[in-house]
Amino acid sequence: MSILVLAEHDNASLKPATLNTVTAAMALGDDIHVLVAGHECTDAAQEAGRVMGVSKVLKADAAELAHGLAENVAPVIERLAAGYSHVLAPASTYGKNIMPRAAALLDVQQISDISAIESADTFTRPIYAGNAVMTVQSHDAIKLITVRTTAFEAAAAEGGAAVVEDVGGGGAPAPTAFLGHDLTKTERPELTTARVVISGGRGMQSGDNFAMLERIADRLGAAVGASRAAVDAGYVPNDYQVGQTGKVVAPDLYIAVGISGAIQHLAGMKDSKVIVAINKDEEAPIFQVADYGWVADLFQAVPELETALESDN
Amino acid sequence: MKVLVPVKRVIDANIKVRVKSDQSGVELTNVKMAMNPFCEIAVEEAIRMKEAGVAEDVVVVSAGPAQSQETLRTGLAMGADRGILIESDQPLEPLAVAKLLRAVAERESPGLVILGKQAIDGDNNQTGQMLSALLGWSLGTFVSKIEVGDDHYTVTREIDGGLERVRLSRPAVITVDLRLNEPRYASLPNIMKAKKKPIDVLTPAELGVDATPRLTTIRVVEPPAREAGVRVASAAELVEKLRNEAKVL
Amino acid sequence: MKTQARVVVIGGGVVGVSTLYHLARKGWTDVVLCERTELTAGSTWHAAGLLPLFNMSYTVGQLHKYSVDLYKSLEEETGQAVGFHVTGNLRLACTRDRMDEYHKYCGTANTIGVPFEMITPSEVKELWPLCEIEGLVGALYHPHDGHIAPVDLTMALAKGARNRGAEIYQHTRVTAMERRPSGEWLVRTDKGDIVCEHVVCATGNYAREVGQMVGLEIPAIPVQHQYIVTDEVAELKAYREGGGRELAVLRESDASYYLREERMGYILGPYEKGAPAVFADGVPAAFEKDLFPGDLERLVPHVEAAIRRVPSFSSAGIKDIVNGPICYTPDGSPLVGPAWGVRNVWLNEGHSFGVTAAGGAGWQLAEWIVEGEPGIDMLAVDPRRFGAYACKPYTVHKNEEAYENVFTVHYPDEERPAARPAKTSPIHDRLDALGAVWGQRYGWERPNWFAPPGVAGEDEWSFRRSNYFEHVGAEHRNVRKNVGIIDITSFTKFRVSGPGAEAFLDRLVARRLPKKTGRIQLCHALTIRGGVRSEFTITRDSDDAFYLVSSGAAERYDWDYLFKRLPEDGSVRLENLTTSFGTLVVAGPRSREVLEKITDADLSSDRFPWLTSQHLYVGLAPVRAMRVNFVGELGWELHHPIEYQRHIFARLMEAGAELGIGQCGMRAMDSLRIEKSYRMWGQDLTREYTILEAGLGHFVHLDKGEFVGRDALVRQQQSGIPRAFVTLEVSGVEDADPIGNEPIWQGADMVGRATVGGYGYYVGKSLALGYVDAGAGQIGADFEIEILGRRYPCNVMAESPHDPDNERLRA
Repeated sequence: MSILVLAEHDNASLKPATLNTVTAAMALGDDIHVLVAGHECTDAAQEAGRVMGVSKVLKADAAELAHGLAENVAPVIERLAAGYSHVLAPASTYGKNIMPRAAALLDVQQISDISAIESADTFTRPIYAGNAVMTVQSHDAIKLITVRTTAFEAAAAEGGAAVVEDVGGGGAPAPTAFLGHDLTKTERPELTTARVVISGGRGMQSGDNFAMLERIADRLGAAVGASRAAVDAGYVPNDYQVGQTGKVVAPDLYIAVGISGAIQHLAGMKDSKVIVAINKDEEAPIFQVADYGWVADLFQAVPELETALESDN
Repeated sequence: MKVLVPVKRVIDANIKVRVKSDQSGVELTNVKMAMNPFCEIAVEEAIRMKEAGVAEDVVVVSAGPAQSQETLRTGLAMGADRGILIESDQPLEPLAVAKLLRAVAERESPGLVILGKQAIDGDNNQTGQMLSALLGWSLGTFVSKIEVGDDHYTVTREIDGGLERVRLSRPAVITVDLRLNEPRYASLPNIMKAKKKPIDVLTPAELGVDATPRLTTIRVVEPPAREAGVRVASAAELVEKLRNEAKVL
Repeated sequence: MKTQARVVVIGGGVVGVSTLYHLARKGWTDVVLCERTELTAGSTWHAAGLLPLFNMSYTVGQLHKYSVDLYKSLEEETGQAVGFHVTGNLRLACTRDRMDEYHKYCGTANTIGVPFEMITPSEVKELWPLCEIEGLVGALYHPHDGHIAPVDLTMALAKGARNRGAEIYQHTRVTAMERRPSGEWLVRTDKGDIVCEHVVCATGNYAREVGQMVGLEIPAIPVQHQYIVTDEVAELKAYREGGGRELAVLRESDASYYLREERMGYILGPYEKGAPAVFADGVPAAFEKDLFPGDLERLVPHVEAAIRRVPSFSSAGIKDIVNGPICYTPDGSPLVGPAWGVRNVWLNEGHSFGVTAAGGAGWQLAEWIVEGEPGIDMLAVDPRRFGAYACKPYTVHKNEEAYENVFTVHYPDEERPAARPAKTSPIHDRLDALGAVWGQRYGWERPNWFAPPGVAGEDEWSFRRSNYFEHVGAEHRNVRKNVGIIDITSFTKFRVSGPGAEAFLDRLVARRLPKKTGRIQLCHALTIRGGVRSEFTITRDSDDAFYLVSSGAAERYDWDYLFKRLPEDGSVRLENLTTSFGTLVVAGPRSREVLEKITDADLSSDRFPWLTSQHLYVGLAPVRAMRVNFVGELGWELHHPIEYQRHIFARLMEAGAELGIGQCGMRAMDSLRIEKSYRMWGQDLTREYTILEAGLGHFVHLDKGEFVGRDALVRQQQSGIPRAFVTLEVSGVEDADPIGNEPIWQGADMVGRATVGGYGYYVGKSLALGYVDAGAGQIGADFEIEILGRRYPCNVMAESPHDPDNERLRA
């Protein structure tokens, strides 16, 4: 049977997450259809048709689909799903918003955020923030799945020649209205949600020295955190504290500067995807969890890092 | 207006989870449990609505084992008015929970169901969306700001790359994100008061819901261990590695 | 990793790391530490970091004082900050008994030089403006301590140790220990083996498992301890942002909790009832850096009390309940010193206040290992103070009891009920029927006093004369006037025999051994510094056999000392007869009359002189009768096969009925011996004072040849004996006699300390025994003694206020 992939797009073009999702779909079958649900989304649909491995594009083009509201997109999936063994979407906020609503309409128990495919009905996914990995088998007739896009390569964006088929709109208007976007962020992100966190410890020696970290944070769109010792010493406010009694963070990148790595601190950040430690004490426990350890005096290292990031752009 | 807040009992966020050696799941015996942190935010928001005078009645509801009463008590200690426990010893998947919540919502007729965007155990991120579908209600997911109107809610959603504002008609389902608020901790006097607040206990059968799981857990294993880190000697080397090897820049 | 080291320390908590640090500081730099996971991962990481100087124990108080001083200097030494907040510690008192306890403590604190202040409720309010002072009687304030960051402290000690050459191996789990024929230890780990001279176990929650590797059952089992961490508290924040100083750690002992600031919120730690012991059968493999679920229910009464005292706590959001395992021992003090029965294995285990004790415990243990002796009297923490009775179930019950009593008033006469009765002598029920009010020592039930008919057989514990005062007096006077029976079955009894026995014992004690068979001598085993290690009553049974009697509480301690020094050629045999023989003392001027009715032996002084021993029959029972006693009267100790005890007791009671025979409990025995200026091992005789200072020069024969401690005594004789043992008559006492650890003042100068005291019922005087500076201690000298915060005049008497010429003993 065929596989349906829900495309993420902004009507004009596809979002890259769609390509990773197509790759996941290819592990399940070779007749891959892509649903582009939007308004005046012909460009995005045509782009989808060029993706390698896609055999058909279903274009649902209607005014109420313009902003990808779940209330409108989910019924489209519900209407089309009967012809498919699997429906996949990227586990982005777009896919996560729409797919469970569609799954409930279809009376299907969705499988979220898969990181590997064992067979047509058996999938692997991280649970407990990645501290455990679960493999589940689905007994639903149609499998609705969201895909952890970092776990699958992107399909080639060019080389395919799928036809684009019009499948109509989303049906009744939803009780929800789109009001607007705000895609620019001016302030530094929150510690707990930031993609990058840079934290300072007692080694910072003063609150003023945190300005060094803030400059790097602004460059990387990072949040600034601190160890208990630094908070204790009064360098930064309490809400900077990362650790067992402070905030627990798990960003993609965590940069620990002048932090020895007390267990209390590690408990708050060791689920970070990549950890960088800068510390002059070679024996500091932080190096045991760091992917990249740099034994250096932070007062030399941090300005060097800033310069390196500057020239890197 | 009545606000319904579904909450879940999970392993405390500060506790390191351990996979059972028979790969059947994670160890839950004698492990510190707590209310799912996203649920705390939902409870907090509901209580703030009550404190602001836009909600009259805050009902916390949980589906799970008998010990989920403790989680309901946490919500009651924070300021919710009463609790509903849907007691079930079998594991409940999001679809089943959504069906149970639909049944409760139909009994209670709330103007708002507000819940966490996901539970930190299964990380499914489904229940609110599913519930909205089953009820046919407006849905706002990953919400970081709520304005309550006469017959609607204006919410700000955290989406990849920014924020989005949508207007939900009442009744609605809202799932909350971390930035919505900072939940309060209950004080001891409030914890004591919460012991006297009512909790109704129901079962899936009483609600007419078939909660049979649709998924079979084949195994649960530890993630691959963190590979031994490397030392770098310069800023240039570090930036190069972060960009090309770790791909986080 | 090294394959050879002088010392392997097992355990990377604050205690193990401190031991490593102090070994390195003592110059032993070839030392390593193995930690199964990461430094601090056991109990250190979740410790609340309190650093109180306060401790009722003379020994532990000195360890804590050292720690506080050391921690203040660590940052300067290592560059690693330790987060020492010198906030002070404030202990509130709501009752007179609590004030008595603090005053008692103050006496001890003065003797060890710990600075403190007793303050009034209004001064409490000044120090702690957020605290209500209703119901307060006063408070004890230590301005110079506070709290510390336990993990940072451990890291600083680790750094200091490494700087001196010590090595630390993390993620290195010790799996076995084997003793090699050379006497070295082979420590096996999952990363390789290390051969070493000494092993130090500082394994906290793992004490029992690691102990089992060398065949020891270690009485250390953790108990769950919870503390509550609150969110920011508006009132506290306003106070601090208004310029208020960081609040002292507050302890409301009478409500059993501590409270301190933590990031504009509070940490509240109750010691509650019902906290369970955990890990009695070992730590589950999966338990790593873990906590238990919080149990707020248990804490509610304490939180409510805290809210009454600190009303802003009521609005404090309860952010977290940290419930982790903290090690305990049956008496609440740690196990610091040599392991028993195995050579060169040292314990630094069972720390329930590990952060506070770590510095001092590491310091003294390192001194013990490196120099062969600790510098202070460590008996109160010596691992050998417990015996085999401190088995798993006993330890579980006692540790839970110790936990819930952390903040109760520690009366000097308290007898806690858990795990009792454990060991009893065969006449336990007979004594019970006679009104015995029991105490427990070393697992043994012993009658403290006997309640006469119509008097409730219950103690009213106190720092002052209490309900039993008159009844003890009656027992006391009856021994002086008529005759009393004292059950001392719990006393330790050894037999040392074999061709090498005489030379072996002679080398260990300061006095010549009794020459003739049947002669008895009181002999002291000394430390290499000339302090008193052990006291034995030694009877020569034959040319090559001796019978040794020592304190009941010294069974394992004395056994271990003798055992570890046995010659390897097998020429000496050591047997422990403690539980095969019972002992009843019959003492008093009419004791001969009583005994003569039930034995055919000639008990006249000509045929049975003082300080001799004979085998005879009492009724049907074979008895070793020793004409000695600890109460200073005519009398005999009757040592008998344990199965004859009921028979002997019955004969004595029949024979004594018309002679006024009565029972004599431990409290009367104590007052009787004080009237005779008899020094008690472990109390008046400790390793801190030489036997010459103890005034027992006549028990020393420096000319007899080599013995342990002789060199130190010779040096001290030449340089002058710095302190003198004195008997003091205390004037003006109304209801609070000295009991020990009272400072002795001469004007503003503290010139000594009492080691014991009590009321001499027969001489009618309040008495104290103790040490004063040698120059000050002449007979007739006037001092003041500080009892519960008041000074009383006292003066030095001649030794033995009762029967100074021992005429009654020899009668």
